[in-house]
Amino acid sequence: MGLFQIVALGFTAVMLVVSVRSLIRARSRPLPSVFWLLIWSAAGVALTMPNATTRVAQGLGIRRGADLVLYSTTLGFLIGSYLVYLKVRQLTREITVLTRQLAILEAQRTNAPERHTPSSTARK
Amino acid sequence: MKVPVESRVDTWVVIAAYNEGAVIGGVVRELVLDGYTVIVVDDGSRDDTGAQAQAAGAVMLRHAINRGQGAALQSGFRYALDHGARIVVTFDADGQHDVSDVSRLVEPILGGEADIALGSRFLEHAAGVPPARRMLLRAAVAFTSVVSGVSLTDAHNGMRALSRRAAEQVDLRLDRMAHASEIIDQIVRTGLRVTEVPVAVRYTPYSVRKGQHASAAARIALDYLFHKLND
Repeated sequence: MGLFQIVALGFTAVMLVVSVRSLIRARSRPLPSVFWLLIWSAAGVALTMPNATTRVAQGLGIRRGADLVLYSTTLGFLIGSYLVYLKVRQLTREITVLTRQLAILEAQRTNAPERHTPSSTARK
Repeated sequence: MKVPVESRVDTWVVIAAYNEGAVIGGVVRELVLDGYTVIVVDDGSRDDTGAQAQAAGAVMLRHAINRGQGAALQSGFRYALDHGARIVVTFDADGQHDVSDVSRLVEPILGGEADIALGSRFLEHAAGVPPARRMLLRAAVAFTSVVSGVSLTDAHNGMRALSRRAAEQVDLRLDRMAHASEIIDQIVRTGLRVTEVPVAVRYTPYSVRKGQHASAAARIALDYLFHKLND
């Protein structure tokens, strides 16, 4: 086992423990933790048995295991980016709604009712 | 037909302003003198925009942080509708619009001919538009025509008048400049009657400096397309 495998496996093991802990803590909403548990498990298998990725790749019609990892990572990155975009959009929207609500509440407090009628100096 | 003064009371002019302290007072004063109710949405300005607007007689709404022109206009619409506006007019803060055009813009709505009147600088006053700006605006018109399926002469004019019914149906979700395309989209979707009215646009060194540049156009188009794809 090379140095990279040892370091990567150590990191993967830590992340697996973190995922298991969060799964135990968030039993009412387990899906995100299960997802990360599967990802880190797959990473562990790929690191300890590199030939296994090649067998899975060939089963999916891809020649090399490395290509399977590359394609999966690229696809995962694109899906992740899109999800982050949607989340940012939602947060942006919420910030705007909150800013608006605060502005309206403040205006109702400070704008005297007489301001809502045109000035007596209005041109006739 | 000149808009009677009693109708102007219920015509709320909404101005989104960001760091416009140098000009906003003059713009508000003119509108107030003409009898309109003016609401300035100070969109998190770092200068004295809010104080100047208030001193000139505007109702003031202040965004604690800058959210963009679309967000500011939507805030203004909501406040105006909550306070009984019958007609809502959007008006740019930089002094490029002519106050006397508000009356022309509101006319088709008061006459029941349209729900929304969009100002167009290309119907009568095209000669005064700088060539570079003209090209950019023509591109915007073509873009709007393709994506919204509506044929207009000026797609990004800051002067618009909306009946109460129309303003209630408009819900701007594009916070920044792409709201100008979004509003047209919503008009098409809701089947509101729309008309274009000739308005003048003054190109002062100040308004040109503050206005949109070609570099921003790509971002506006992308914002709009992303929004449309995910809506």
